[in-house]
Amino acid sequence: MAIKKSTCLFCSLGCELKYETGPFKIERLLYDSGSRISGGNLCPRGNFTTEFTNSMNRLKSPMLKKGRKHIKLNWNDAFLELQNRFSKLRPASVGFLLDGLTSCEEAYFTSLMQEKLGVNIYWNLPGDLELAKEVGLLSDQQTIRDISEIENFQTFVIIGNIFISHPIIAKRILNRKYEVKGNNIIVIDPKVSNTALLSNQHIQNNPGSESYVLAALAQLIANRTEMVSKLKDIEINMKKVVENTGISEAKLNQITDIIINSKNVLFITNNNINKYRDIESICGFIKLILTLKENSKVLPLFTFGNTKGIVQQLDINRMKSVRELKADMNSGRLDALVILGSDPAVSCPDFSESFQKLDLKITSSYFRNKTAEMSDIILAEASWMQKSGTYINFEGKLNRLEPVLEPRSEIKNRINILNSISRILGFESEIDKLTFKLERKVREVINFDQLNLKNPAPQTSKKNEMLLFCDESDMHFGDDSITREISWVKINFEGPIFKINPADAESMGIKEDKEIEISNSAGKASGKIKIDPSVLQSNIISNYCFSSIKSLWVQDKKGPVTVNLKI
Amino acid sequence: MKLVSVNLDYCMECRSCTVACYYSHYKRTVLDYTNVKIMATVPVHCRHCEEPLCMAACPSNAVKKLENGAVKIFDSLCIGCKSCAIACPFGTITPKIESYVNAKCDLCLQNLKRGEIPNCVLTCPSGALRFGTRDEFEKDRKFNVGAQIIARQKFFRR
Repeated sequence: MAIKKSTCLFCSLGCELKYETGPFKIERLLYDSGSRISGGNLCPRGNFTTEFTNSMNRLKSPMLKKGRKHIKLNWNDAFLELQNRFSKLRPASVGFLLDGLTSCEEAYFTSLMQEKLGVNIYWNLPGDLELAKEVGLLSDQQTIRDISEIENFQTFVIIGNIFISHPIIAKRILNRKYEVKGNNIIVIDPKVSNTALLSNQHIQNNPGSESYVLAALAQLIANRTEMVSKLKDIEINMKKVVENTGISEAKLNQITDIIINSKNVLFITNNNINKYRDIESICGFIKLILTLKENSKVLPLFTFGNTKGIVQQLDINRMKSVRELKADMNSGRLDALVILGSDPAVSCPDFSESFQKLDLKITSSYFRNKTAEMSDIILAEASWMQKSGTYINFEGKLNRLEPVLEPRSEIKNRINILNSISRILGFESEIDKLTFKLERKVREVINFDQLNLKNPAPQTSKKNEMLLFCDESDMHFGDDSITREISWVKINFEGPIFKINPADAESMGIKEDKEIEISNSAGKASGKIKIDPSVLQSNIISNYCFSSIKSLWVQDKKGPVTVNLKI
Repeated sequence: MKLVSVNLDYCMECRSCTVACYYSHYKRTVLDYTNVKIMATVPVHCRHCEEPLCMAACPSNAVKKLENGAVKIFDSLCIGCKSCAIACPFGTITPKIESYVNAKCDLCLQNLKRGEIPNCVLTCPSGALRFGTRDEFEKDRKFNVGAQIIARQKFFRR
């Protein structure tokens, strides 16, 4: 038995993990009290890491599609197959889809491939990229650079359900709540979430109106602090704010009082906000409040571990989103796509249709997921606990990954897979000699052009029409998370549940535990109904991430969903 | 005797304790959650009673009180009659349909032997779960878990 240390990359906090390992599997998870980030405590995802690494369902060897079935290959045969398939293709027609678990080295190698070969790089978590672009690259003075800094703040303004998405930081915030004994936790969330229940002030705004709440707070703080001149470029009409958010002016004034009277304020955002509207405006207004209110800082939290590292290694402007990927696949610009780690067939609306059109489909994955099933070649990839490398956590600190277990012979590290494909395409590089450009891109604090309130909060008009609000944090997994394969998730996930307001249920004649079907222009889903008075009217909250029909995902403009009783 | 106490002012329903318990008991859900008046969800931890009713109800003597005070179900003796689940006044034993053996909190005996504390307490990210003696909790006035569950559901926390 050996004691090995690693880091959890299920979110951007980067908690240290300690294991007792045997030759072939992890025997026991040890809770390392010496851990700087977590102090030895772990969230469910941290606890999942043992099963994730040991799982018998993990891919053990590459696979090739023959007819309708996939047959097992050894790595050499898979490499020959790749060589054969790629020989007919131009590098410019090959795309790589990265996820947030890519290490700095892998991201840097991908950037080299982009530079030398002209391959296309796509990013599967568009929200994370947007958030990283907008907030994550602020100056050192405006972001948290060490987790212990949280304990110095008096007031916390939280957007989203961060106590569930990042439970490890909750202890520090709750300790401050009971030490300071004031109205110091303000939560902006349309749901009565777990974080909202533990807060002092809950702003239950209408979904999609976060930018209006923040704009109003910026305006009110500016008025009180006589810094109106700073806001001359934008116009905030309080009547419009009240109309869109459903929050009274008195409540907003009360929150402003708390913010102004507190010694310092910490804004905490997670990637939930980017799934909804106006991410640029939301981030812009946060930046604006940071400059208006002295001693305030922001803590941006990402879905997966190395978002910051990837953004620093790759040129953001040359990376494309999944929407652009779909357009490229449909237009015939791409002939081949290599998917690294993620499962876009589950997470991205209408991905499968476009993916089928490609000549060559390759998935490098941990499990045989839905995207892998559709691929011509499946490569078995080592998880982050089986490889060495570096990553940058939410503090901007460079950390080292050490392998806890050696991957089996047919399972390869992502960098080896990238290197093999790169060699076939015509660019050879010695991985050991890679150097990292870790220069920091510091952006201008506020870009007034970004601040706008042109998009009104989404509304419903027809009968039985509702706004779908996906609360996947219930299950501790995001869009296409690998935790789907975890046995605890399978046991405890009863299936989709939709929560609605009692008034809505009565008007539609729906009773508790009845099966309903919801649908919009993009697709449909069904599940059991639960009546919950905490849900706002004309909203429907699901515990499952129906990404394809997510009505508030503005980029895809799917529109509100229609609710029907299932017979 | 040392016990686990739940401080509801800190519990945020992240379910880390449930997951840690699941993995430390051969993938059996031992520590479960319950809903109090729909709005609040709290972890239901075994009290390890001084005179356990589950032990009295067990027809095959599978439930035993150990020297350190922990009440444990011995799998090899359990016949899966679910009497213990019915007898428990706190509802801490969840009867399992799929397996014929009932599972129950044993305060992670393997950890106690090593001088460590139960895994649910080790993993709790918010510090809501604590492991200590009755005297320690009484000093902090945080022992009265049952009273907190009844009187302090989530909407009254603020």
